[in-house]
Amino acid sequence: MSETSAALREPWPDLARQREGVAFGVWIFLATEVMFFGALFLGYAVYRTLYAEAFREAAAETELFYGVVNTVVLLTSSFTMTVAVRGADLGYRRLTIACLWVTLALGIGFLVGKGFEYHADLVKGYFPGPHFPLPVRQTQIFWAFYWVMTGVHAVHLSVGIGLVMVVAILLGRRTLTLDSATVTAVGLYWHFVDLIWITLVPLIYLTGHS
Amino acid sequence: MNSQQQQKPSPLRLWLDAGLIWLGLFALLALNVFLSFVPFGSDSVAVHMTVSFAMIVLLVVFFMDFKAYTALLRLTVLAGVFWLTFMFVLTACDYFTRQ
Repeated sequence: MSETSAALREPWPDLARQREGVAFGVWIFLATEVMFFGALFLGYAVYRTLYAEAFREAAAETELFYGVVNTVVLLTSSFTMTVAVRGADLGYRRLTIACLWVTLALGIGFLVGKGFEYHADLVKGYFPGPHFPLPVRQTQIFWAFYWVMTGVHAVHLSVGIGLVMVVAILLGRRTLTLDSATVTAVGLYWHFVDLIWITLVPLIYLTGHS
Repeated sequence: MNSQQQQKPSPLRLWLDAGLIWLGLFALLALNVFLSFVPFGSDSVAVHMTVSFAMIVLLVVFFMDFKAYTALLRLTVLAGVFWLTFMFVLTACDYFTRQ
């Protein structure tokens, strides 16, 4: 049995239709994710409009260094994921698998950086509650959004890391063939997690430092 | 080696093509960070989101291969954007027009 026939699943007549079907399904899922994160961004926009000065003051306390370094890490992971997906399309097995592992390592690096950042935030006491260090009460709303949005993003990234690991292992064992649409599907999800982070960076890190 | 194999891009070509977009994303990130030290006042969110939007366009068009999508896939992506916009506009009509 050739690799092509092994990758083809019911009910698709050919691999091209199967790949389009998979991409269609993933984008339907991503559209629901857009609405999920969109509701968070919308809530942020409303409260930022109502309490602009408090949000600016609160955003000034975020760790810009960690935010920028983690963005660089995540953009680089999208770069290696792109090479992995295109490598799979062209039949470069070793390149694809290597790039998937590098992508996975960068994803873990992002979470480690996030851990250091969370530690720094907690040491300074920036968790909404009775002992919050900033005097203006509405700054706690910003920090509530900070914890929820970055936390939910980290959960999504963790799922992505798991998916990339499974695909890399299955490709390595040849259980999954390169022309399977699975690599493309995981790639789309990974890029989407990066897209969400690109949206979060200005809202959290960049608007309070001028 | 058949003609299709001879024509397919080399691994180096893949790195270079994706690397160009990667550099573009880096340049836009650097611009966004630089702008965070410029006092834009109440316009700062709009300025930063504009740069971030450019990054998202690069990511979706080139890394997520939107440019190669069929009409069905493009419509699916745009439907997501449409409903997101719809949600923002309806909410803005309420909050930002209150007396």
